[in-house]
Formats: sequence, C-alpha cells, structure tokens
Amino acid sequence: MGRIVRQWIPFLIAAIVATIVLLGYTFPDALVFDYRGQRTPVQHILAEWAVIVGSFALLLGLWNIGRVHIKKAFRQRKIERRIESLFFVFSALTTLFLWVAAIFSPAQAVSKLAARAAQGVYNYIISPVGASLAALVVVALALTAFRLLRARRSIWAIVFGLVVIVTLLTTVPLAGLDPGLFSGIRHWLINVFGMAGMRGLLLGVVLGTAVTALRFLWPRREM
Amino acid sequence: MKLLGRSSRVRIRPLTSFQDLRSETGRAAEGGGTIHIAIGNGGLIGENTVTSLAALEVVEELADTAVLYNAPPIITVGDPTLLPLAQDILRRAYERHGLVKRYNPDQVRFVAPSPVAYAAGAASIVMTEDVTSNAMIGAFGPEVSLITDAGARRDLPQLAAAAALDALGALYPATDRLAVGEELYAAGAQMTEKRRYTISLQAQDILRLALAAFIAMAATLALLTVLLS
Repeated sequence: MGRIVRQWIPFLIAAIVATIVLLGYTFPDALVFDYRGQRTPVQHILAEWAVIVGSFALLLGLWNIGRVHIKKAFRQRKIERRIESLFFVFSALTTLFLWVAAIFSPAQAVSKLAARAAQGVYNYIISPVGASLAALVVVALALTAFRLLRARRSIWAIVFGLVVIVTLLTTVPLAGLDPGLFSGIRHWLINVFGMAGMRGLLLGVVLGTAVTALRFLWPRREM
Repeated sequence: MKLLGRSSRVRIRPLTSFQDLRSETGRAAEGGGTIHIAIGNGGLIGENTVTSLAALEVVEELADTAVLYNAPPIITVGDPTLLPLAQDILRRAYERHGLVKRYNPDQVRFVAPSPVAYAAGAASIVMTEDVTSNAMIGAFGPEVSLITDAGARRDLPQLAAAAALDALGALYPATDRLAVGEELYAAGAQMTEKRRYTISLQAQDILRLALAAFIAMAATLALLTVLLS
C-alpha cells in the first residue's frame, strides 16, 4: 500500500496533469468554467492552481527568512552580525506594518500616508540598492576574470582572456582605425564560434532536460 | 558522457564538480565547518524546473553523507517553491539514520526572490558563516559571480554546475571544477551510479548521437543541393 502511495499515485497525478496540459494546447477550445463562470482553457486553471501553491510557498519562505534572522539576532557571536539581523527584522516589520496600514487603516489620511511611505521604501531604498548590486555584479565579473589569469595559467584560460579582450576592444569605436574590420572580427567571433558553441550546449541541455524530466516522472523504486 | 567497457557495466566520465562534493563534506566535518550549496533562482513553476530538480538530486545524494558526518550543508534557495523540497530531502536523510531530533530546518534558507538579491544574500552567508566549501548547482545568471567572488575572497574550494549560458560565462573563470550544460543532469549518475541514473544517461547519449547524425545528414544534403544546383 505504502509503495502504491509513494510511487504510483504521484506518477499518475503527474502523468494525467501533463496529458491534460498537452491536450489543452492541441485543442485550445475552452472546455471548462473558471471560478468567475467564464469558459477557460483547462491548462490555465491548472496553472492558476500552481500559482496558488507557489504563493503558499512564498509565505513559507518569508517565515523561513524571518526565523533565521531572529535566531541570528540572538545567537550570533559577533555583534555586527547581530545588528545586521536585527536591522533586517526591523526593516521587514516596518515595511509590513506600512502595507497593512495602507490597506486596512479606516482613516483615509493614515492609509494614504502609509501607502506613500511604502512606495517610498520601494522607490528610494529597494530600487537603488538593487541597481547598485547589479553594478557590483560587473565589478565581480571583472575581478573573477583577473583572478583567472593569475591563478589558472592554462591555454584555455589564455584563450578565454584573449576572446574577452578582443570582443571588448572591437566593441569600442577606436578613432583612426577601420571600424568595418573590427566589427567583422567581433561578428565572426560571436556569430560563428560563439553561436556554434552556444547551439551545441543548448542541444545538450535540451536532451538532458527531456531525459531528466522523464526520470522524475517515472515511479522510483529506491525511496 | 560515458564509455561501454569490456563488461556491461557503464563507465562514467569523471566530473570533479560532483565527485569532490563528498570529500569536501568530509573535510568540512573534520574542520568543524560546513558546505554551502546554492541551488539558484529556478523554481518548480517555470522554465528552470528540471534544472532545479537536478540540483536537488545532488543535495539528495549528498544528504546521507552529510548526516553521517554530522556536517549538514547550508542550502540556499532563491525560489520559495524549492524550500520545502530541500527541507524534506534533509529531514528524510536524518530520518533514515534515526537522527531526526538533530534535524534543523534552518539549514535550508530562502534568501530572496530576485536573482541579484539572492546572490548577494548567499554571498553574505559564504563570507560570514563557517563555510569551508562553496558549491553552486542549479539555475543561475551572471549574478552568480557575487557568490563566487565571496568564495574566492575566503579562498574556499568552489564547485559549480550550471546549464544557462550567461551563468557558465561567469562560472568558468571562477572555478575549474565546473559541470557545463548537460553535465548538470549527470549528477545523480556521477555521485551514485544507481541504475536509474545510468540508464537515463545512456538514453541521453543515444539521443545525442541520433541528433548529431541527423544534423550531419541534413548539412550534407544541403551542401549537395547547393553543389548540384
């Protein structure tokens, strides 16, 4: 009984749902009614269910972040780590409070003020910090490339460095030099070598994805 | 991916990114530290589902070793749908060894839903906790370089496996223990050599050969058409 529940029921659910979704794309006519009473393709309803499950997972995730940081705030040895975690918990609670006040406050003035403050948190704190982190990614990439040339002096590391340098240099408009020649080199590197490698990798990834997906769908014996 | 030897046993080409994970777990246990495994931002609802599931397979195969050594890894996820799955894998490993009381769900951490924030959060964990090895296996973008940079600053051994091209570009200079593209899906076969994994790897190889033959034939036909016309 346990084996049937563990192996075959998940397989049957996955196989039936997958078949319904595939058939839904083959026969796109809406066959079922959604919660608003409107005709909807069945795969859309299944996707909505998946989104609802995903939303619950997000709540679990937020609970997980909060719990980890509250524990860190009380148990970390280093005081700066404690302050970091406390700051995180404080920021999260403040933002949550602002959104709750914006939505549920009976006084319209308070509601508007809280909504503006919550929007301000997004516009003036979260967005700029996100943009700074994205800029930091470029710095980290450059640092990693320098480390490669210092730590791994193989032929492939040198080829990698050369390709990066040539591609970057041929992107820059250099005064007095023939732009056609440089754009030709860049075009050749990206559209011949790069494209060939990319297609080879993608074909492998597609095959790997298909076979791995089948392996996951098929009932497992070793549990 | 693998060669058939004289016997019928399947021989798998060694991939250091997966083979070294067990020894790194042992080393972490000896040093009183732990391994950090970043699974990335792919979730169960989206185009990276299978990549994320393949990454979870690695965690699954490593979990028993980690529990036996009493060095559970810190697993960071960037999509909340992976959180209960990764926690379940770790809890089952503790259950199998009758040590469920030692299970700590906070070893699996949801960091942030946005890729860059996730990478920054995971990098912070690498920098500040007792991490002795840094593994990045799953769906990433170029922002993974924030995590590798944190590992490099602490001079940690780094292992990686990714399928996305922009992540591979960022990971290649960071570590020589990198599983590229389809190699990510060979993790289970590489770490356990269980039959279900090796059979799927063989199927993958046969499909690849068929596809390569088809492409070569189509290219030859196209060339002949041009030459003869």
